[in-house]
Amino acid sequence: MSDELPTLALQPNDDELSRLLHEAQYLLLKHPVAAQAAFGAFVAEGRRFATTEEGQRWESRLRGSDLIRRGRVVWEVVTLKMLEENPPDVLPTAYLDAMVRATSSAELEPLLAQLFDMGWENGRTDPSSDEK
Amino acid sequence: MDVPILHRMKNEFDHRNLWLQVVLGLLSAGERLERMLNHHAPAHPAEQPDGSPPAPAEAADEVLMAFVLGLVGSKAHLHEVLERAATDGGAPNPEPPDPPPPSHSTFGSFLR
Repeated sequence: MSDELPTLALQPNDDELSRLLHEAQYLLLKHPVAAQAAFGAFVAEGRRFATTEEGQRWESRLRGSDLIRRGRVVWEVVTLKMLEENPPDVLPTAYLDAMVRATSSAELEPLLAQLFDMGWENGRTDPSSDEK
Repeated sequence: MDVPILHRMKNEFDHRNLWLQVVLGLLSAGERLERMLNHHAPAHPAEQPDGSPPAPAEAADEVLMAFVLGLVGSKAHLHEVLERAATDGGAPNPEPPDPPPPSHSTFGSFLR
């Protein structure tokens, strides 16, 4: 009889994986507008990034990878194909730049106070965008 | 009496600063994304985990590809911005700006 103790091999917990994917699905169904806005913004950001040298390097890395090829199946099931490419007015990095510009503004408080005086016309902050 | 918000925040670099936590969260998510991409989409196709050559992407993959590229681009931009901010903002400002006039202290009044 061997002196070795029996060993127990733990397999990846698929229940946990399913629960996390289900949680992501629930999040999307709970906040569809926010999810669509975030998705559209990042897709547009990706289109812009792909025009840069670094973006093209990344694109060639991603093209053909399982992460994209098989990931699309997972993505479509998790998102129930609800998300569409909807070009936003402002890219995510533009919001980041705006935060940085605001923090370096010498007139920060008047700038922030201005936000309370601005209106929302048809869900937009720029009335001229309605003319486009 | 109106107290401008900029002069009330003296020790903001702790767990109570949610903006700081958001920035740290974005950094953490970005680092995790990069590690994940380095593993699953290596710089050289020969480094694919199973050693097989990469198959061409379908047209339907393009949107997901753009989405992932958007995450990567945003992460790179965040790093640039933070590095610039750390370089520019590391030294104390020798002449802080004058406090804004009371007529513009709506934001400070609102938060108080």
